[in-house]
Amino acid sequence: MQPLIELKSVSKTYGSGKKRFQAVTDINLTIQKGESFGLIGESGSGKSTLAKMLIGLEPPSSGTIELAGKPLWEGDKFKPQRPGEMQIVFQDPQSSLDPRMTVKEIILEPLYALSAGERKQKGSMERLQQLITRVGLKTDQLSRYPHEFSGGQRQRIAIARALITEPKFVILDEPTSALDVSVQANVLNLLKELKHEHQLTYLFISHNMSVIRYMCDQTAVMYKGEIVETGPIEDIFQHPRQAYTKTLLSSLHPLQAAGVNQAENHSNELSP
Amino acid sequence: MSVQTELLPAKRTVNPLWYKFRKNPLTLVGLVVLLFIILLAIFVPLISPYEPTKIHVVERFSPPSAKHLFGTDEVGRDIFTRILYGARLSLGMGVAVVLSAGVIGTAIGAVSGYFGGRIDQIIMRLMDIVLAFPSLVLAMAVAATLGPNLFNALLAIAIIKVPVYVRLARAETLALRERLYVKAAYTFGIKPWRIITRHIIPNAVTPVIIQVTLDIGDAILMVATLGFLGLGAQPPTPEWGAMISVGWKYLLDYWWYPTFPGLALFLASCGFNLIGDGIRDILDPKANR
Amino acid sequence: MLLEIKELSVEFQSIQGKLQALKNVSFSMDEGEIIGVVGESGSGKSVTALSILGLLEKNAKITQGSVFYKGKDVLRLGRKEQQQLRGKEIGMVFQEPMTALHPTMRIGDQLAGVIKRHRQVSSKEAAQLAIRSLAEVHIDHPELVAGKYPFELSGGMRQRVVIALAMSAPPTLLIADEPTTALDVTIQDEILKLMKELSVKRGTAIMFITHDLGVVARLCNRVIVMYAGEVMETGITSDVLHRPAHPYTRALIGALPDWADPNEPLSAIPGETPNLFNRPAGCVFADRCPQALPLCREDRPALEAYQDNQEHRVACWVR
Repeated sequence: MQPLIELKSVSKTYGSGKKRFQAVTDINLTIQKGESFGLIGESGSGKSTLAKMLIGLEPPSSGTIELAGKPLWEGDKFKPQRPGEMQIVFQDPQSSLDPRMTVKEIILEPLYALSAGERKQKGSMERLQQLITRVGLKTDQLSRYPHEFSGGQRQRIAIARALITEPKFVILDEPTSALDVSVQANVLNLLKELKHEHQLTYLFISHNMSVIRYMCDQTAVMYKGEIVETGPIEDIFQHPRQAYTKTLLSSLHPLQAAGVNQAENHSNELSP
Repeated sequence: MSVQTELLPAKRTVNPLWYKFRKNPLTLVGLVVLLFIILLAIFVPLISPYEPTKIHVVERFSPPSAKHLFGTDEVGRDIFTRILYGARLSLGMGVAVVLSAGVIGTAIGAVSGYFGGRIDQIIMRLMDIVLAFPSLVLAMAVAATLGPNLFNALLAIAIIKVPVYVRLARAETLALRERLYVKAAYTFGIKPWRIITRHIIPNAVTPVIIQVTLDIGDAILMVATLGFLGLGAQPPTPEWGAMISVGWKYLLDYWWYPTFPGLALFLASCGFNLIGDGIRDILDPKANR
Repeated sequence: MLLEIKELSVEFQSIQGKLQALKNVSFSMDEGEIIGVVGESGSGKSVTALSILGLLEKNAKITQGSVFYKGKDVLRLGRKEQQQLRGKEIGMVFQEPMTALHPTMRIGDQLAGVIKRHRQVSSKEAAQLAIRSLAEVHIDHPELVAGKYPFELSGGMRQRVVIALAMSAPPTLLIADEPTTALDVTIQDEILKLMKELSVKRGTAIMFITHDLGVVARLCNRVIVMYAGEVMETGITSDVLHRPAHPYTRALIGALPDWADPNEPLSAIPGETPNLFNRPAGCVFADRCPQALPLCREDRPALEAYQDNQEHRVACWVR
């Protein structure tokens, strides 16, 4: 089966001469259609640089990136086959929404990369209302501005915006890192449901091991610009082979280490 | 403190703009003065029985009285009436000239900053050339070259004001280009012109507005200066600078003639500056003190 | 008892009106104890710390309550005495280390400056003590790092330097507000170990403010759970985490993806945090609580012992 995303020996270097900095080195990666692919790494691991190369913000220095078998980059020019096929949700919902636009304008904005016909069809009021209610906001909130919303609500707006073009592939760059735990749970649930409903493929970037474990079925661990380990999520979490992965895992489940078991908490009492 | 901003509810009870405006008495003074002048200028045909250019030699050099509030000039025209018609001209021109410089400059600056590279280099060197000259000297040179009339004076002032806005908008654009929401728009595949007009310019407009209000007072002074030097509006147009230019020769004998237009000029430019300061304080709290 | 906070209430004056950020917050700390203050944004955990330190902004007003540090009410102290207390007795570490460091001064000089202020030593000795304090926070090649400027260091290194600065007095109480939140997980781990070690070695009490229950589990003896400016539950960490008494604490633990079955949705807390401009009459969590009774909306529950455990206290009617 042809992978949806394929990276072949992708590298990225910034600067030249003495200031040369290799951000990403020789990455080979395939993401199959329908997968949730988790990319784990700490700051400086190159995971954000990878996302930038996928979404068109930074050209790779060498190697090829393909979406459904078609290269995304022609030299330094980003040439996706069809605009809107790929979308991204950024970490910081404060700064990823234009403060001078209403929620409606924000969500419809990606459609301006499409043809007029497609724009009309996908940007219908009916579809917009459906989408906004689906992400958990009310239709009368469409005329509000981003500053009137909480962090979690803003991230929901960003998710609605990413889905308006009916993408196949969505990059989630630390989508819940800036949110509170209780809000995070809501957003993660929403993302899982949406993936199912729209047959999406996710690249989920995070430094949070438990979020990746919960959300993804495949994963790759990045360290200093390289992928040190990759495979199905259970393999990586149960039988990590690399020392670095083991270190990362040791920071996981501190509550379990302290003997806390969720079952004891009768958390099921909470679900109404 | 972030702790409290998280708690703010979505609905606002007081308009914070108005709240800040109220707390700034000097801005209010500026606002009141200007509104007063503007209202008088609008309703002058109702207030004054005189016409601004009608000669009435018999009444020449009448001192201020109930009949002629600010006295009359060397051909008997009512100075009060002429000042108010002049206000239409001066305020209108000041606003028009700065607005057009602001619009043109912002557009050029945003394009220059967004694309960068060679276009940016050329534009910025051109602006540097304009900025290298003292503004008044340049305005005089342009006005004198094009011929002394009101329109050319306005053109000259606009030309010297444009680079200020180009630089401002460019700097703002460079910062905005790095903002996540602009980058996000780019990742959607939005074309540059739309990114510039929809995302960059609306967000760069605050410092431009501040600069515009601060510049209007200055522009009014410049219009008057060119008028005073004979490079702007020509007599008998009731323009403040031109009035002062003729009137100052009579200062010792007929003090009211140059004094009242001068006073009007002072109040108008002061008013705009106060408002400009106030708006800057409100819109740009970082520049506060 | 080292620190005792009694019925502390804080109000913020803003354009929209008065916002009650803290309401009747009470808890205490013993010497050498590591206590975790945990809550989400808007819970008032940082405001609590700032009140103790006398660092609240001008628009904040302490409307009620007292904070006793070694028996002295710090809220009634003058500016100067408060400042002295902050320098000598109470150390601080914040989330962003750059705010605590002088950007254009070498690390060694900054440390030596603080050391000289608190001890009668020569400049040379202070410089040496500075290097030693860097070694104590496990910085490799402390002599080298002492000669560097803050911007030349990584985030984790900077936070170590800030801890070294805070510990150089050395303080009896260290207040740390989300000190590891901006750091990578592996570095966060090291910083936590370091803080625990320093606490044991020097007998420093630590008030650790965080949103992360995992950090609390690893570091703290006791925990205070805050929500919307009120204390919901307090107790020995293992008690609170094993047998959470408050529905909010339970919900918070349940919302973590750590144990969740990937095939099941996470149990999230419905609704939004309450409007602090206009507090509900009853329990602040009632609107989002799955177990709320009619009583919960009428009357505010007091913090009382849970299942006869005097250490474990909860503010909830459903006990």
